Amino acid sequence: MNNRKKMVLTIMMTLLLIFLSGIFIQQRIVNMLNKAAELSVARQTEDISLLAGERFHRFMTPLQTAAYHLSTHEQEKEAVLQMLTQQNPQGQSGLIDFQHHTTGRFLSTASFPRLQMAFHGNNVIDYNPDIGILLATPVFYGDNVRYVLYQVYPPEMLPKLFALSDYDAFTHVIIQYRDGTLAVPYENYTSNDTRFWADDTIQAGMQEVHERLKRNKAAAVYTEGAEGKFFVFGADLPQTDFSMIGYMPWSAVAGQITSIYQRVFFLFSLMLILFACLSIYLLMAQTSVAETEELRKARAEADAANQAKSQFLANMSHEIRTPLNAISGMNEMILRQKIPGEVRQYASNIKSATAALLTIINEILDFSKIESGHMKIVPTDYQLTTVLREVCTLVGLRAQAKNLQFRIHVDPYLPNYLHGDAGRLRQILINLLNNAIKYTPTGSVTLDISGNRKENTLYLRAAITDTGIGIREEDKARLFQVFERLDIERNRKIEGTGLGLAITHRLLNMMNGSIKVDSIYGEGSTFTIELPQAIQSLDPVGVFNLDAQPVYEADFHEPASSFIAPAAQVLIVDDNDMNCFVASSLLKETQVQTTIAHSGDEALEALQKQQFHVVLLDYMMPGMNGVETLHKAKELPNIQNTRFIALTATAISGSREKFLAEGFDNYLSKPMTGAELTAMLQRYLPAELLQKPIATTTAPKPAAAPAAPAEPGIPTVSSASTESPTALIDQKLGLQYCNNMPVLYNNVLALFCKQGDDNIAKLDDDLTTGNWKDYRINIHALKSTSLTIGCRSLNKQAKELEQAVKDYLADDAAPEQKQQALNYIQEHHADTMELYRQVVAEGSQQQPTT
Amino acid sequence: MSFWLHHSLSHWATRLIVGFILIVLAAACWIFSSSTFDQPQPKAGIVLLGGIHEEGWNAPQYRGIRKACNAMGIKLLFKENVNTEGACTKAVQEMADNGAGMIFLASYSYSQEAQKFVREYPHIAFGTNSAECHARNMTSYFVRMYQGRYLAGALAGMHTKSNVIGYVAAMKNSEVNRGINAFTLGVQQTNPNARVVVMWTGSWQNESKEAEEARRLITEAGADVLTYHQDEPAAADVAEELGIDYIGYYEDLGKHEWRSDHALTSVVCNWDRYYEDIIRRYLKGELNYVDKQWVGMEADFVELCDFSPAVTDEEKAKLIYLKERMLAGRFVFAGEIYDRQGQLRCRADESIRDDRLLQHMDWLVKGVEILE
Repeated sequence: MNNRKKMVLTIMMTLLLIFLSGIFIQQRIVNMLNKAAELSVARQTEDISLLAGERFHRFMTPLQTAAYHLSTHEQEKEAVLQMLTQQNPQGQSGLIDFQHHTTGRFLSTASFPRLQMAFHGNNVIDYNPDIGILLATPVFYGDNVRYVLYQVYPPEMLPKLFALSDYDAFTHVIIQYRDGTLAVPYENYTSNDTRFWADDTIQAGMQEVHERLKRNKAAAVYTEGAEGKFFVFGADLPQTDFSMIGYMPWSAVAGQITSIYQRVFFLFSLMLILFACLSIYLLMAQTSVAETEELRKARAEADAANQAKSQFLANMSHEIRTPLNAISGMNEMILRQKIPGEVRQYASNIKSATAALLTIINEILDFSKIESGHMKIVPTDYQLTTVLREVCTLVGLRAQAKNLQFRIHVDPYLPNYLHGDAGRLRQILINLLNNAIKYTPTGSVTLDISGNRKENTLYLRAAITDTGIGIREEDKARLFQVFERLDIERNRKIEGTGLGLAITHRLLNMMNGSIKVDSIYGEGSTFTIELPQAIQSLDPVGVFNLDAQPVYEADFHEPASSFIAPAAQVLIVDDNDMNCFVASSLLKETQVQTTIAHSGDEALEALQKQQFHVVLLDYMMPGMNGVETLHKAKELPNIQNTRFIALTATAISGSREKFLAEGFDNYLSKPMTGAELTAMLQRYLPAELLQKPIATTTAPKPAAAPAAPAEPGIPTVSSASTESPTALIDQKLGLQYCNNMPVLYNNVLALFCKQGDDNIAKLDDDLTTGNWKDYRINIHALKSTSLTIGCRSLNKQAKELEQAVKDYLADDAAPEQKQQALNYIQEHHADTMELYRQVVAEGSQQQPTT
Repeated sequence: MSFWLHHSLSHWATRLIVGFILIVLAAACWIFSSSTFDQPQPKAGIVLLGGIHEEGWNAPQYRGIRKACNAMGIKLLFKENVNTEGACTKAVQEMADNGAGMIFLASYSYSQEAQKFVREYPHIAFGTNSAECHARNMTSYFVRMYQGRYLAGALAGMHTKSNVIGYVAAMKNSEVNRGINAFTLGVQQTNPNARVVVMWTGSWQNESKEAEEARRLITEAGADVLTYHQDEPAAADVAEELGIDYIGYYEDLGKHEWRSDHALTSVVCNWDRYYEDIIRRYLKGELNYVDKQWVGMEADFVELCDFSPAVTDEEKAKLIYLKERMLAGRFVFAGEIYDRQGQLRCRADESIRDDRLLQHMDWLVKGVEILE
């Protein structure tokens, strides 16, 4: 607006300037034209003056002829005078001698002072207002002048003889004597003319003319006054004492100039109009700029709203993830219990539903992050094989579950060591492969990895081919649009947000990659991506073999509690009670000592009091957040052996690097599974604290067991009969309980083995007879003795059975609870007894310790 | 980005256009304000034989034209000490290159040289004080100094006791002869018995010769009043030294304190008026209308300057009478005049015409004596 005002001001000022300079220029033009006209009038005047002079000389010529005649015929004075009078009746002729004696027209030398110049031998023209004009010429005799021959023209004759009224119709000329006396007016000179000449402006003009005549032959001046526009002019008549003055109307001289004026005026008007048009155009342009300004504001507002939406989504996803963490954690706890098959079915449904929900939330969060521009590509060095193995492990499971054949072909000559965002690459591949699996009812899904090398860049190409439902040609354009799900009628059953491909597409764009789709509807599709990745080293991938190396992530899918670490100290820091409970519950199996802190401050306090091996630190907390707490904690003494693992519900992917950069040792995304948590602990707890767990009813999968290559890791929940090759009895532990007295331990162990069969029989008996009191006592005894000999697993199971019996026997127990406890006992009794027998067998075979 | 660009672009364009308009306007105003009708300042030049501070002929010439030019607002170019062969041609060339519109050749000596070059400069108006050369663009410009000589002669005739008056003359030409004749006619007007004795030096400037001849006129011929026609007053200095009366020429000798009452008067020309007249005629384009221009006492160009106390009131009255009679028509060279050979040069009822006086005064009037 301010700009517009400025603009208007500029335009007004410019218009004013144009207007003013227009006036100035117009005046200058008028002046110059008048000056030019003055010059031309002056020239004209010069001509007229010559003409006027010529008039006088015309009358002089017969006089000179007569004088010449007289100089040779001195005695013919009378005849000569007579002849002159005849020739020119208006002139009064006479002859004067050196003694001033006159013949003919009498003449006093006093009346015409210039007459004596004639006696010096010069022609003379003189004027006397009363007598008129005198023309005189000397008569020579040899070198000397003897007479002067003259003619006098009385004033009344003058206009007729000398006036220049016949010069032209507009020009009025007066011949003046040098002292200003009027000599020869124009013929019809009236009182009006007298008044005209007396006018102030005309007088001033004449003064200027006389001033100029001092230095010029002729002069003309433009005057503009009461009488109108005139040029007044004057010129001295050569060789006389006469001047000629006159005037002519301006229009007669410069009438043509009017047309020049008109043209100049027209030109200026045109300029003004042009400028006005230009101004209007600029104003309009300015207005449109202002409008676009408004548009820009509107867009900024829309952007802000979108940003807010994205922020909201991110927050919401966090808010959802926290309870989801609780649900999935609790659900896992349920699944670990001995529960009836029906309940287990429900719980596993919850588990898969939770997983699906988590995927959806992750996708939404990822997408909103891309939208809000928070998504960053974080390139790192990585191994292509590692990424592929991770991907295949995950996807293979799904394919297996759907009875699809999953194949992977990797060009063995591709460089293995690359630089790029491995996390995103993994995400893209998983997305596409999951999609392929989702939309393929039967057949196979194939991943082809190839690439072109261009200098130091590998254009990595991954083609995902399925034998699925395919995509209609007309749908392909919509494929990568947000929330688009194709062929909704047919795919209703298939879950998904419709964000997967959009995210993939956008991620690829962010990484300068591309994606294309080839598909035959009903036969299958091929998604091909191409992604430039910098090459770290040219070491080839070689023959890609999923078995070749242990995959760390595969550990996640191994059964939980592959170890126990009763001596390990773990600090769980989370402001949310439920989360703390979930974490500690999940860790219960590993028997680590957990401490709970509900804030960063509490955590620091705890860390000062005691040394922890691992700290599970929630990122999002009121007050100090996880990162701040970490930084403070790092400053504490004796902290160097403590490992910190971030827990967060905020980030899905890409955050790992961020947390590692902040100084965390690793990072876990909530909701986490027990498996993930224990795997993490296994990795970070000091190795000496880790122990093999005592065999439980669910036999642990051997830690060293490799993941199945062609049928990737399906965790075998196989029969309980599988023998564990590892020792069930931990002699060290037993020795601890025996105050490190091997003799005592040996005795205890011997006793344990000896009583074993009896006890088992007793317990079986008690169970069948319903002698719960005895059963409880016996099982309690087993709990203690098993620990004393160093068998934690048996101890645990005994303990649980004891608890169940307790529950069953409790007076205030509800019938359902009693039933549940009873179920538990019945379900687990056999297992426990089996374990008891195994321990006894082991114990009896064992060499007494020393 | 694009908004900003658009915005700044329109702003930029506005400034450009406004600037352009302003420049155009300024240019237009400038074009129209410079007047093409103002004529450049005219320049006049003068070529002098001697230095501009040499009294006698040169300094008064320079002072006169300087004063006239200042009064008329004209730029003066001058070249002094132009007295070698071809120097005048060079000086004129220089002045022409310098834009002089009018050049005055202020010496009789330049006439021969001028004859060759004046025609090469048809756009320059030349003025000269020599009657011997003619061209369309050159006018001989004269002063009737002889009128002053006539009155000086009358004074000398009244003042002489020995009836011998000395006259140191430069060379035999119309100008000098005219002066001697007018002086002699003046002497005869007041003292018909007096004689005028003339000695020729043969040059305009030759101080020793002038002084020597002045001495001879006084001592040998017995002159008791002396006058001269030279560029310097050497003869006057001798007369002053010897204590006899003398009459100066060109220069007002009486203004020098050291001169005695013997310096009766001087015949001088008001060179500033003379040059003013020439320049005005030049500006009016009339300078070359006629081939010669002759003015004198009627325009106060020529006068006798202040008399010394030795001149009586009677003598002054006589001189005034003679001057008025002359201006009224009783001319110097009119009435009965015989030359030294006894030939009648002018009848009683005649006057001698101007062009004769100017160019053909190759005779001396009766009563002039020559001392060889």
